[in-house]
Amino acid sequence: MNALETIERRSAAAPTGLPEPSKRTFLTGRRMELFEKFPRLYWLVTRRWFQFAVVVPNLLFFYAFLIAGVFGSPVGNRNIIIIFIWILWWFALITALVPFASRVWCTVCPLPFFGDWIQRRALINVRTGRTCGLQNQMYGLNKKWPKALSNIWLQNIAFLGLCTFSAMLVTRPIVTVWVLGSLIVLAALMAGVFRGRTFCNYVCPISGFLSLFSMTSTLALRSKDLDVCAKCKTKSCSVGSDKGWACPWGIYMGKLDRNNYCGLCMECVKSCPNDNIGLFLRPAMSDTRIKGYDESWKAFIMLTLAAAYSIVLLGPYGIVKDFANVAEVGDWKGFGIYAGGLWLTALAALPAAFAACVWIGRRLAGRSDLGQKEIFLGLSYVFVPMGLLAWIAFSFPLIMINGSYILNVMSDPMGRGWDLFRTAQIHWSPILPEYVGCIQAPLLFLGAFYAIRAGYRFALEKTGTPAVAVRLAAPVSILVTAITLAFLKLFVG
Amino acid sequence: MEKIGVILTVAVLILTPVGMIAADRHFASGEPADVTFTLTGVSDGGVWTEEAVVGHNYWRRTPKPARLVARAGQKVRIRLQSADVTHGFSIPDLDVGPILIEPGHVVEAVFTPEEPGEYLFQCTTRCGKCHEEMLGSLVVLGEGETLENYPGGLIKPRTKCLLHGRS
Amino acid sequence: MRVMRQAMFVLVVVVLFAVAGVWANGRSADEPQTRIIHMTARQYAFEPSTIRANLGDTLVFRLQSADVMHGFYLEGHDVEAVITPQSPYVELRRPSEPDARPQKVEEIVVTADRTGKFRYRCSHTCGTMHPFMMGELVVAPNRLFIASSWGIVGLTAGLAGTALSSRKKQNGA
Repeated sequence: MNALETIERRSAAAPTGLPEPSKRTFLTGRRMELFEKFPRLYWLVTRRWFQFAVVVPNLLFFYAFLIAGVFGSPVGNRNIIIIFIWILWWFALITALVPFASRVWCTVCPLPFFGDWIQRRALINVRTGRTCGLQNQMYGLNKKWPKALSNIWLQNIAFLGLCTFSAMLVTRPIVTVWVLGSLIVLAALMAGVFRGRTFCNYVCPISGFLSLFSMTSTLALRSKDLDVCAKCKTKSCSVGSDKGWACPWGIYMGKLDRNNYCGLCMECVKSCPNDNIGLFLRPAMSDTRIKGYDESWKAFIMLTLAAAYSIVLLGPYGIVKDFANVAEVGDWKGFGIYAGGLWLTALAALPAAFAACVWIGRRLAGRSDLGQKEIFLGLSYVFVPMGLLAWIAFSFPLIMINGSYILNVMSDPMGRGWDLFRTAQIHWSPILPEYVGCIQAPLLFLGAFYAIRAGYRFALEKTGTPAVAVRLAAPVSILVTAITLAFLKLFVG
Repeated sequence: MEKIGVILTVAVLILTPVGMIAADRHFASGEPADVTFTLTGVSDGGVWTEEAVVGHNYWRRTPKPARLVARAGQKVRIRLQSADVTHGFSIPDLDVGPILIEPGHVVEAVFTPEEPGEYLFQCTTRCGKCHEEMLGSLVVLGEGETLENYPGGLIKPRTKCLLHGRS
Repeated sequence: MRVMRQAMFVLVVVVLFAVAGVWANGRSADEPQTRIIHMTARQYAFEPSTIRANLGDTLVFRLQSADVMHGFYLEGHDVEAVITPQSPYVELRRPSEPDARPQKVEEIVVTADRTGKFRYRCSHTCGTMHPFMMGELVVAPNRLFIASSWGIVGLTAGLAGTALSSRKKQNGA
């Protein structure tokens, strides 16, 4: 509950008690720089082969999963592609990687492997030269992505679209193969046409929610001293050098103040001539600024999907499962109801309810100088911690109930009678399933806590007066409470 | 350095499928027999098939029903698997089964038919709308017999479900 | 310290709300009774999908399948059964005794001796959506739900209280 205190501390001119107060960074508050603390980590990430070495094992696994999806058993829970991606990978991603390690998935992601290869014609080495103002030799057309699409709306729609078919995606190996396969091909094609990681930045549906939820992460890559960046002549992080590629995500480290669009590829750590890039450990939920409606809507979509999945996949309602499972049941009318309800809630109903709360809050606060858009964007951040924790609460039963499938498919990845580790025949055995609710309820509490706290923090920052701030944020905090209650009803009620 | 990267990448791309094929061969070899069949039960359409029913074709089409052929006195091994739900396998006239086949597992039936004839096998666990039609046969040929000159003709599988396609 | 005081305040409010909620709603009014439940499993749902019972009730499950082979795993009650289509018998095993032989029984008797939500799940692969085939047994009084829902209201109130009592921010925009 140091919420409001921290704001006061932040506003103080010179933060005291912080390491090296002379340095100006985008990170305020407690933090620890990991490269100084662990020189071996710094050594590791500055090796040219670093990213290649962490991607290749994943490439192998994904490749094997794709083969298993095509030539293995069509039974989802006996095929490694379903179990390892939708149970193990998803669980690790949402409960550990995103909240504690930001977008480290993007560091190890195999999807853009071939795209990078096409663009760089190098797997490990860096090429110097000149391409579009960069200090690296790049191949491909290096076109600029259209300005109108330089946001995450495409990712929003792609992710919502993909998740509409989740009942097929998470149960049929071949559907997962199609999706992952298309992403690999699309990433490669786009890398040939557009510069850098345009695919990751603007198209990849997974990247969209990674960017939003990475705001909550306790890990952050930042400039160690902004004054050094300001004086820097080369801007190697942004344009590249003979030590590292120009930031594939188009970032200049002197301006990076949020985790959202940094894929942690570590090229800037290699290229920075001033050794001014730090990897920081910091308190959770530290990035709090939503910068556009695209990001707000991403938050609405993610929360809606967490609820939809909890109803469809974890609920007792057979009819909803039939609606969602349209490819097998064939009830297109039912599917229309399901999909329509999902899209309407995510894109219109939840945003409208939220906008109404913001509007009521502004009336209660009586501050006509605060614009609706400004407060809408600022307060929409509350759905980031709330959405993340709702997703974590949703994901725990996946692993606790179906964890034993992981052992099965490790031994028999294709459901073809293999037994590599003598675990293929282990009987399905949930781990303490009756206590899942005792984990989910506190997680929802934590989400509501961070959400409501963030709402009041933002309101105090805007209004300056506690009494006014409470009135400004109260309707939104009540909305948060109501949604949390609905999740509690689904999970433990 | 760059060369190592390329070699590693190419190795991953080639060795992964090779390794998987090798593992598949290894685990498919069981008790030695004169003839080995792989039979997959498919609930949708109600068929036993010798075709490989895997991720990429399961949702596209109903596979061809199986007719297994062996010679009298040969040791027959049938690897049984299911592409969807639990099926049961039995050849009543040869005292084989019933054996439960759970999806994603492989079970084997090994036996030696001595008498020539056509032996029906069926699904013994209700597996959906087409369960009753889920029949197939093992033709045991006697001395000098072939499928073409088989005396008395062969049983035609009922194919109502097959003709009507997917349920 | 001010921060600690605020944290303690919120925590106390949450606990007070939760305790008050359970005190007000946490008792079961009805006498224990025996409920006979005719359960039909189909791809991919159980009917009835939700069972409400009270602490101390005796639940008698008679299980059948409308299509293919299904399972019935009741969380927290050490019950797992295989439901064979067209058979009045189910094969019951206790997950706590993995090596014991399954018993052939006509009905499964369970005592609702703990409160809360317990899902019954299909435990025998029955098709694509098998991992998500489940129903819910809710044994009242559902203390976890009562405590957590009142607690969340307390959290909202407590956070508003601390926000009200926080110091003015000097340079508010």
